[in-house]
Amino acid sequence: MKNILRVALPPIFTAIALLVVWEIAVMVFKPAAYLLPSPLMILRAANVDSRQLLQATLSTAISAGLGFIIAAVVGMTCASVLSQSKFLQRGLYPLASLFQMVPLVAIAPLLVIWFGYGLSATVASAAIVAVFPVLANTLDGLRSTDPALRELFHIYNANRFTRWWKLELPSATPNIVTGLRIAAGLAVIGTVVGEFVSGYAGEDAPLGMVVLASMRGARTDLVFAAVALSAAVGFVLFGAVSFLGWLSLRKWHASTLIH
Amino acid sequence: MRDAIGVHVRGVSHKFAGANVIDHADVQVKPGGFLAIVGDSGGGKTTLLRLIGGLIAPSSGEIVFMAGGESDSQSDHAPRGQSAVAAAQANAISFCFQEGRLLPWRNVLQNVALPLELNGVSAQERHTAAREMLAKMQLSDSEHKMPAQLSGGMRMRVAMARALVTRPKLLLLDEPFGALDEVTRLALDEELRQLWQQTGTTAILVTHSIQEAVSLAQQVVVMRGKPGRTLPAIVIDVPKDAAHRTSMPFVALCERVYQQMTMQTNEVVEVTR
Repeated sequence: MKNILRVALPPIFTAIALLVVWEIAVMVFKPAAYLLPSPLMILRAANVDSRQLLQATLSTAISAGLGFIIAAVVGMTCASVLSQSKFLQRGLYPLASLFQMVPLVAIAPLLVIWFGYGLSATVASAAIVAVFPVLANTLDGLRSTDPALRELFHIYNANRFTRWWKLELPSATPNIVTGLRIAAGLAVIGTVVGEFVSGYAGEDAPLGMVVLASMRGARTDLVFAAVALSAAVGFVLFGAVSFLGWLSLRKWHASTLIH
Repeated sequence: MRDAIGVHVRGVSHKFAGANVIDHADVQVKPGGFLAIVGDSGGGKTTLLRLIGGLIAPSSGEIVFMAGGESDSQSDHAPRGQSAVAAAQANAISFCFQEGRLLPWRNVLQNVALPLELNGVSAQERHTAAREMLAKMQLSDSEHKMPAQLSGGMRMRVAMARALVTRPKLLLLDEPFGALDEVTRLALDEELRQLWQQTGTTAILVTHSIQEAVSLAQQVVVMRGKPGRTLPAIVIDVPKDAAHRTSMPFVALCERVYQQMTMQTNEVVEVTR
């Protein structure tokens, strides 16, 4: 508990200090509300529209969560298949890297064409950006399995599947956790980008749509509120993944030690 | 002795990347015997051990395994040999490596049970066998510890337990205690000697320590040069009790091994003839 506080308190204090400075700056300089609302103004606006904002947060969280899960499963599966074949690796991995270079914003409209307006397009958008870090990190981890341990498995006649399941995958866990943590943040970004182009109005409009609509209505306070909430979704997803990673590594891996 | 297997390495050469690493190695160990191979680093000792263990195939020459019970002369004339790979696959051969090679995400019990697990032994059976082995080595209290929580010496003992849990007929040890401090090393030498006697397995130990070789083995083979060549085995006929390391015959044998390791190349050729 003491350790957790030592890690958590400094950033919390820093954040509070920044908000106070922001609040004071707005009180002193009095910028127009549509340019820069103060933290308290944002909080008040969020409170008024809390029902809609919570609904939007839920929509975005569902889309980011689903996109993340798809990215995790697809990324780890593809990496596992690629790790078993040098041939496939040479042929496919460079293409996967290239695919990563395509700007998501540019292909988002395509996703709308393929998946229509709504959840499936935003999930696809989240999965597409989040899949590569999972794939790349998992593959790195699988490939850097200690050759001495591979030899040990060879001595005891382990087949390929056993070697993958009982040796390569556990030894790649630190890399997989790293990949998943990066993917958690990216999944939220992918979702919001997807929502910008394919979002849907109405009761369950997601945060991306709230941002667009509030911007058009010059409701900068609501834009800030939606941005903060989408960051919170990312933070929760990241935190959950980090916690699961810590659970799976705490017994043996140096990265889990709190310094 | 029991069902240990003997090994006969005949004129084995091994090339790696075009260069000869081992040149016409000749080594023999009887079923249940203890052979040590000493020599300087890079002399091909480890390669020879890997050849015997079937991890790599020799470029030329042959490695024959002899079942126990047969007399030496019989197997010399008509060796009922097995290939290295077949012997390893029958779980007849076990390895013990310097770094221990434990899986860091598994506790001691799961690490010791690994060889049985990989050969499809049920959880209950393999854990019973692993616990028996741990008890024999006074490791029962550490059953649930992770490798990172163990000292270097403890890790090696767990690695030895893992190597022995399959009840191997041939135990290959590659510098098992090379990274340990002197006191721990002496203790583990003694432990290894007792385990070898209890299990009746054949043991081949690769080491760079002359004292370790002479104190544990029945025969010591010096391997030297580039490519590595084996010299005729030195028979170790001193009693294997705890005090023998300071006895005159022990020191004299160490001196002989040392001379073989350091003499000039032309003399080596003479000895080999």
